Amino acid sequence: MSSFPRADELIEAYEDQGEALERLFHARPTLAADPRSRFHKLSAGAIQDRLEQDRQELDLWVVMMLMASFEAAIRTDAKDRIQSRTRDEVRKPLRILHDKHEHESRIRLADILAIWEDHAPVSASAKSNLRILLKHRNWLAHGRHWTNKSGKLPAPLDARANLDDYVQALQANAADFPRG
Amino acid sequence: MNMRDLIEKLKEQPKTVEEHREEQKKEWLGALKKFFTEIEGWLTPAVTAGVLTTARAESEIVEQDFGDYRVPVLEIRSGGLTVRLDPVGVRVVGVVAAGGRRLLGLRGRVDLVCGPIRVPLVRDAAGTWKAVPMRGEPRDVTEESFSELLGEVLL
Repeated sequence: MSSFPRADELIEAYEDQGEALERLFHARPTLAADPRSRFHKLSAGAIQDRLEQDRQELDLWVVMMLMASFEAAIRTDAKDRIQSRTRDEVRKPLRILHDKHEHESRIRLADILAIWEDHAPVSASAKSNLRILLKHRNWLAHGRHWTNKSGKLPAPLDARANLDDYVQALQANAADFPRG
Repeated sequence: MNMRDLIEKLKEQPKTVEEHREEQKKEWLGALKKFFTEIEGWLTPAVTAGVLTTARAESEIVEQDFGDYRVPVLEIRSGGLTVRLDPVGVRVVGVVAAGGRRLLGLRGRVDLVCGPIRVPLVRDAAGTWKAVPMRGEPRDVTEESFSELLGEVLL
């Protein structure tokens, strides 16, 4: 079983942190006057800039974590499906893929997704939205050192909704997804 | 429709995918211009009263279908704070409102940004703008609801 937080746990934490940042913003006169605060003596504009930056970073981290959580669910499910010898259409091709790459460090996520997409009714928009999210994930995970040409990064709630669409399409084929 | 109308309509029809996208982009930029002008009109009494100022800026956005293009940004300033109306794009997959409810079939999105607060303003298929706060129900953007929204953000 993956120890990675599930999407709903990540979103819960994100909403807590978003509200905390908003409350800090509304408490800016108190913070600026408090010598124990990290915002002591800062102007309203400076506090605004700092909290906006914090929120932007929070959003990026959460999208990256959501993608990691999705990948963990896909990989853990595949492993469990193979080991448990489930009686569904995807186990066999997953097993063949696993055997083919047995001596490699790991199987590409794209190859596992391709198997699912061959068997589950994943709509073109759900596939396209996931591919865009994966491009954003690569940009985030590899240091953001190139210009991200995949459009504006979706907000965490929108990213989660797109991932949910994809997962629901997989569940139409295998109701027990994600296993493990 | 008579033959002359038909000829005009056929002439107006986009002929290629690129032309169709160009039309969509033009329509989106027109909607943004109209929206910001309307908001500036709502804010005129506050500007006259000396409690707010507004300014236009520009930014560049990147969309898969339209590539890189420049969009207007509306800035509203008060007491050392700046509220930015930041266009996100015309292709909006779906926005999640409070309680996980999805808003679909959208035709554009502008984010109202002030510090850590980010409220999506989305344009539906009929051209109506709605504010989608993280907590609470989506509401049509009107002079009254926009004033409330600014009050929530600035006060």
